[in-house]
Amino acid sequence: MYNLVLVHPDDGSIESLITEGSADKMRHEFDDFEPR
Amino acid sequence: MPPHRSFPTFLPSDHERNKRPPVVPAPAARGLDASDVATNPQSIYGSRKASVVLDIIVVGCGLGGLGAAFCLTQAGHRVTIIESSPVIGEIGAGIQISPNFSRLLWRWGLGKHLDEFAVRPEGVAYRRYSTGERVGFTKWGKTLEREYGTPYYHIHRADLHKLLHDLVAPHVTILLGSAVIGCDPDPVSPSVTLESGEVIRADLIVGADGVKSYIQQVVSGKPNKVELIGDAVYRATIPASLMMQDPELREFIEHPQMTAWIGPGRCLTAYPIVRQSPSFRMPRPERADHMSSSYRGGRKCIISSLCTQTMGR
Repeated sequence: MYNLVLVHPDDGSIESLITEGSADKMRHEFDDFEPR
Repeated sequence: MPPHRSFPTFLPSDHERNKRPPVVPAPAARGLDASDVATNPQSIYGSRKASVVLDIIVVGCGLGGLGAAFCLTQAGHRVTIIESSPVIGEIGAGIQISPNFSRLLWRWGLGKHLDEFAVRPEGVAYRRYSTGERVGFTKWGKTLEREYGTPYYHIHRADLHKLLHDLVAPHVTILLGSAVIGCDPDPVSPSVTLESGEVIRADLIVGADGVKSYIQQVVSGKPNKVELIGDAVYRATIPASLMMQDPELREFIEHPQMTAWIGPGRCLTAYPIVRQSPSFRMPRPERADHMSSSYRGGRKCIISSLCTQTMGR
């Protein structure tokens, strides 16, 4: 298992242990990371 | 030292207390690391025991509470752990265990188990976010083990919690589903009050109730205010088997290391958390993470139960 932790500026998210994020939004925010 | 006083009825009777729980057996000898410190975790203080046995309440059955409880029982004290959650859940994801912590886990007899459940990373690489170029590397692995005596590990929090829980459980009373709503730090007769109304007295109360600690507020006398720092965190996991099928990603599994891609305002840190060597035979279903612990200082967690590639490919 490969564990990812992605720190990004808070955009008014809900503080929660179980809230599911948007994978598309996460991909978009890190779109310019690691071109390989 | 306050005089001994009667202890609540949920504790075992004196007769039962005197029947000491069985000694935690040394794990089966398989692939032992020669320097694995303790084979008998009962002896972490040698044969020394506290001259006065105390009744101690530990508030919180997390990693800290379990560690504190274990050491206190090994010194001979009677410990009750009070936990608000009704079940011991599989919360969280990756945990970094640096040598100052792994040294303790080895001393407590868990070294062999760590090698079943944890990854020993080769090092940490820093990469430029935009190109992937490696701009820094610190070697861990054997170099670090030689220098500090015990390894650096990556582990899933649920595995670490289970190791500690199984180590401690035979020696303590654990009350689940018991939220502490009051604490009287009376120097003569400290007590906690549970949601049920039950008042439990002890000689000593240990607060191990997390980053939003209630006990800490009682001690400091002021609210435990969260300070927002403006960052939030996504967390996700990818099954190693998927990454092994990808020629560009398999190296992240084959050569376990922590990688930090540093970018403006953002940072991606990633590392494998279960050993994937051919010698790893224990069947392990891949966990899909639906839960995560919150972060100190008001960082917020958004969890993705992603089992697909998430690296902007």
